[in-house]
Amino acid sequence: MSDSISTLKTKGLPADALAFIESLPADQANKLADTVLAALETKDARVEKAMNNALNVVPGPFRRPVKKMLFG
Amino acid sequence: MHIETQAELLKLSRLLETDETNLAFLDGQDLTAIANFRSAVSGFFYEQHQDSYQRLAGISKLVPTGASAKLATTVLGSVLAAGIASELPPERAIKLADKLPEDFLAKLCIHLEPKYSRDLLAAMPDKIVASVAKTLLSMGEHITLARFVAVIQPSALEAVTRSIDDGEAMVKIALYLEDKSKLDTVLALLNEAQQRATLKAATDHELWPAVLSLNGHLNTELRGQMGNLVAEQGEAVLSHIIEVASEQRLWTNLLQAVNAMDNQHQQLVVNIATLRDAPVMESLIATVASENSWDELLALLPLLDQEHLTPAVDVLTQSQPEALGQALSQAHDSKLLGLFGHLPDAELPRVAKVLKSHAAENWQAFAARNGDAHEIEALKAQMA
Repeated sequence: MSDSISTLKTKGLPADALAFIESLPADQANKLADTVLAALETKDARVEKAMNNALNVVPGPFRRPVKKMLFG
Repeated sequence: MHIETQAELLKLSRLLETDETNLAFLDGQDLTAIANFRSAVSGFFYEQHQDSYQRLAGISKLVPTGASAKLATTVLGSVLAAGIASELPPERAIKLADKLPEDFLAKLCIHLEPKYSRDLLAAMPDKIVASVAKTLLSMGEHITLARFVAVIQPSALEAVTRSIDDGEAMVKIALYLEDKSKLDTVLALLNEAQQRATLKAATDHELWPAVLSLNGHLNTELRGQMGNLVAEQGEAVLSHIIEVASEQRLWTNLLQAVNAMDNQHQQLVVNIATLRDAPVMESLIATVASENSWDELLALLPLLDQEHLTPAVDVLTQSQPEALGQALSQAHDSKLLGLFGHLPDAELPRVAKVLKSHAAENWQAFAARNGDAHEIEALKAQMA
């Protein structure tokens, strides 16, 4: 199992999606898993950036606790 | 690549933020399996941040909608706002949507996760849906619009379809629809001018593969209605459609369309000169054989004039002689009788020869079932 497939499994990619990836020939499975993981990272970064923008309106000393409260 | 595969890979590449050519290796996979994979991955992406969306939605409920709308546009942005909107009760989200600028609302809709926004979109008032649809249309967001079409209320769908006069957009939205059973509803809402616009767009923007493919999802009445309009496009367009059907192996779809036309239009289409080209006829019969659409083809063969029937018999007796045996085992007898009864006497010897050499058993069974059919008397005499 490739690193990307393992990572997606750890992150909770649904079993049927994993099964689809693993049904492909190994090189294609790795390529698709890499693409899904890269997209996940891009989307995470986008949401993170949007959250940080939102937190910028919170006064400095309260940012960390508010961030923890809202985004875990 | 089949046009519906192209459409599915475009939707997946959009979700995965990559170029669709990077996913070309998925060509050949089952389309439903790819669509299910896309849906599962889309939900997975959303669920990574669902907790945060829920908490932000909880706070948003405590703030007046005007202030929430201001925060959404100035601080949160369309990505977060889309997640939050999906976690709000629909009535609250609708109040908020009413206060958001149209272009922001349209961008927000692009980021909505289909599964988690279904209830929200279904509850959206017609006025907001029509306005957002107009903006999405101007942005070329056909995939998002297709998602809208699938879940909005019938009255909202009517409002949206009334406002679209761009034939290219209509074909693309139809192509990207997740549930193609919705096509009948959408097409029935289009007036004749809009239907004609889709056909003009098919010619102007090389969308005939999409139109032919989508045709296969229509009910017989609409298929006939569209088919008759297609037949009126003139010989150059019809020849082009035949070439497209040949290149993309969309013959079965085309045959279904022609079968649904009225008789006058059928005669016109089946006797187009392009159909006499040997490679075209080869492609037609090979596709019919592989997709078992003999009934669709055989119903039309009796409409061919002699000039067009000869190339068809050439293929059936020379380059694909095994096809006749397959037709005898798979097609309805009434359709086969129609063909055999239409064969001119001059063609009977070579047809009889191929039946003897490649389909003797199937022919005997067929002849036994139809012992008193006058359509095969002359052929039986040749076989004796």
